[in-house]
Amino acid sequence: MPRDKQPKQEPDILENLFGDPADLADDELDLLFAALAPGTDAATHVRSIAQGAAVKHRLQGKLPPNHVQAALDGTREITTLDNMAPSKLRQVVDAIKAPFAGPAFDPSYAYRNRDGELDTDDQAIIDALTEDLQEDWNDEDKEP
Amino acid sequence: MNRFQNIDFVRVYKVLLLRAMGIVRHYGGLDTFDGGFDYEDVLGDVFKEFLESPDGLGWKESKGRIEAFLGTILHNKIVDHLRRQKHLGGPLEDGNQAASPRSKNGPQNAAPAQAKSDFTERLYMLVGDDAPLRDLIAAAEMTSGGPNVNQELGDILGKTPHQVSKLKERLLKKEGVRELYAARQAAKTRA
Repeated sequence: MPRDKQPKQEPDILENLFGDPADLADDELDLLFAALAPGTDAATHVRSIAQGAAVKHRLQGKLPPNHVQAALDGTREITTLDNMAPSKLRQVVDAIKAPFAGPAFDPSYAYRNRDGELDTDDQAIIDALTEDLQEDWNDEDKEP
Repeated sequence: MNRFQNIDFVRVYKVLLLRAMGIVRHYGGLDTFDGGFDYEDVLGDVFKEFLESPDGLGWKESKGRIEAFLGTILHNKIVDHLRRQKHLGGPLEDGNQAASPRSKNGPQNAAPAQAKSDFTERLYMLVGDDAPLRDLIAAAEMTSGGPNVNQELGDILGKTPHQVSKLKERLLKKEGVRELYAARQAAKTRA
């Protein structure tokens, strides 16, 4: 069981740099989590534990309590948009519309995300690549 | 509406996994306990206990944020594992100072203090002569580790929070930095 107080742990340099995870904005937390726990699907972990707990409660002849139901609802796998609650639909639309905040792997997009340290030669190469790409797109548009 | 309805459990899981990394790093423990059990398994246990409990281990808003509530349980469990494995580089009492009558500046705090300065030195080593990243680390040495960390670092560096965030992204791409944060150094050495 928890003790009365949250353990006081002096922050180290990495916590000073990246902050307390509990205080991070969602996008920063996602970025840090993806970098530090690559391949870990938090939603799947939570859902699997919640499903196991729900079975245990049912075997005791009880309905899953509120916190289990909330965990199940919050991690339910979305396979269809039919009958989905408007709030969930809004989350899906927001996620699709949100700007991509991670690193850009396509060179024609890369330097726009960088701050003040781009070599002018690199910039010229990337601009040339971007123009090539633009021309390709224009050619495609002209084709019947 | 019940008290659990607005809790984002996936976010809580992410926060606690990152916190678990910090706990193992703080005590200088190996990231894997006996039988390949690691801090992710301990976190799974904490979630299991919480969800299998009929009343969520008695958590309610008046007890503070759920991350802090479960974080305390997680901390104690990880420390128990580390204690059993005798992998601790620092004092166990450090996390529960209220219960410890000993002086905060006593010798029992020497190991974590040493570990902290080691992390700083290792970070400087990993970034090499990359001046903006060295400045970022130097700025972090001057901060308190409170909320709005990007704003705080930005004020010191004369950059916007967004620019600080980009610098941190770049820092995470440096070889060894992720492992250092994730307390993976020991496992890597053993492999």
